[in-house]
Amino acid sequence: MDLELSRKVDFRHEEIASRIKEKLYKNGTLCLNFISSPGSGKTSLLERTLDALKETYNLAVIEGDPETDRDARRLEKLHVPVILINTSGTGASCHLSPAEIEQAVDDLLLETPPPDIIFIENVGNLVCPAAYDLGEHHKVLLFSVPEGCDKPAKYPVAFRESDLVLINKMDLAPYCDFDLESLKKDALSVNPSLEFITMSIKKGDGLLEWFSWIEKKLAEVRKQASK
Amino acid sequence: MFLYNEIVHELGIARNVLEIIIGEADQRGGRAKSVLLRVGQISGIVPESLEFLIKCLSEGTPAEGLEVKIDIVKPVMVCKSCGEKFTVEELSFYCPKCGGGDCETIEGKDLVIETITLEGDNGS
Ligand SMILES: Nc1nc2c(ncn2[C@@H]2O[C@H](COP(=O)(O)OP(=O)(O)O)[C@@H](O)[C@H]2O)c(=O)[nH]1
Ligand SMILES: [Mg+2]
Ligand SMILES: [Zn+2]
Repeated sequence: MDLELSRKVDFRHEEIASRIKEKLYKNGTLCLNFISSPGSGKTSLLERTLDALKETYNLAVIEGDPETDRDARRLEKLHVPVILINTSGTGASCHLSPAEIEQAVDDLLLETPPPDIIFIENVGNLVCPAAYDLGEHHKVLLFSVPEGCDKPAKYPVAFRESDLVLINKMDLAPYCDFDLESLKKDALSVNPSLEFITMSIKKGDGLLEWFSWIEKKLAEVRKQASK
Repeated sequence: MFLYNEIVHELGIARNVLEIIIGEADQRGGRAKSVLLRVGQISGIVPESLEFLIKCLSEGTPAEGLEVKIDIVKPVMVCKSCGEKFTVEELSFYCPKCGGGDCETIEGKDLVIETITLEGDNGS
C-alpha cells in the first residue's frame, strides 16, 4: 500500500528563526551572520570591527565553534559580550541552527541597553551554514583570495543566500592568479543583487567601506523597528 | 566516501525522517518497506549521506531494510519583474525571459517525505 504523504520536514526550524528576527527588530538590533571557509579571516575581521565600533555602539558576538574556545577568547579581549556555542555537543558540528542560538540572542537582548549589533561567527564551512536562517538580517560571506575563483560555482547556495561578499586577503592577489571580475561575474549569476567589498584585513584596506555598510544596515533595521 | 561533516549534518535530519516514517506506518498497523523523498537541490542536504544514514539508523527498528528513493528537485523561481516562472538549470538565477535578477525561490530548498510504501501484516 502506498501512503501519499507529501509532508515537509521542518529541519531548518523556520519558526524559531522568524521568532528570533522579530525580537531583533523589536529591539532595533542588527544581526549579521558570517559564513566562510575556515581561515578566511572571520575572527580577524571581528577583532578589527569590534575594536573600531565598540566606542560608538553596543556590540555582542555569538561564536559558533565545533570544539574549542580559541576564537571566543580572542574576542573577549576586546571587552564585548561573547557567547560561545560548541556545536559538536549538539549533534551537528558543521553549522549553527536557530534552535541553538535563540537562548543566546534572548540573553544578549536582556542586557541594558540591548546591543545595537550582534555578530554571529558561524562554523567555518561554505555548505551547511548557508542553508540555515538564524533570524539574522544578513548573511555576510567572507571569501579570501587564496580560495580560488571557482567557489561561486562550487558553493552556489552560500553565494545565493548572502547579501554581501567581503573579498579578503587582497594583499595576496599577486601570488594567486586572482581574477576579481570573473569571481564577481560568477557570484552575480547565482545572486544578481549581491554586493561586494574588497579588503585586506592585514593591511587595513576596505575596512572603512565595511563599517559604513554596517551602519547603513543598522539604520535600515532601526527604521523598520520604529514603524 | 563521506566527509565527517556531511554525515553529522544529515544525522539529525535522518533521525527525524525515520521517526516520521515509523510513526506513520505504525498508525496504520503496517511496516514501512520503502520511502520516496524529494530533496531540493539547494536545500543544503547531501542526498547520498541522507540515504546512507536513514538506512543505518533503520537497523533494529520496525523499518529495518527500508528502501530509500530520492528525487532531486531543481530550483524553481518566479521573476518579480515579469512574473515568469522558470526552472534553474545551470545555476544561473537570472530570468530567462526578461533577464531580471530579482527572482524568488519557490521550490528547491525543501525536504519532503513524498510516499511511504507499506507492507501490511495481512500481506497487502
Ligand atoms: N595575508 C593575509 N592574511 C590574513 C588576512 N586576514 C586574515 N589573515 C590571516 O588568516 C588566518 C586565519 O584568520 P582567522 O581570522 O582565524 O580566520 P577564521 O577561521 O575565518 O576565523 C590568520 O593567520 C590571519 O592572520 C589578510 O587580509 N591578509
Ligand atoms: Mg574563527
Ligand atoms: Zn522576468
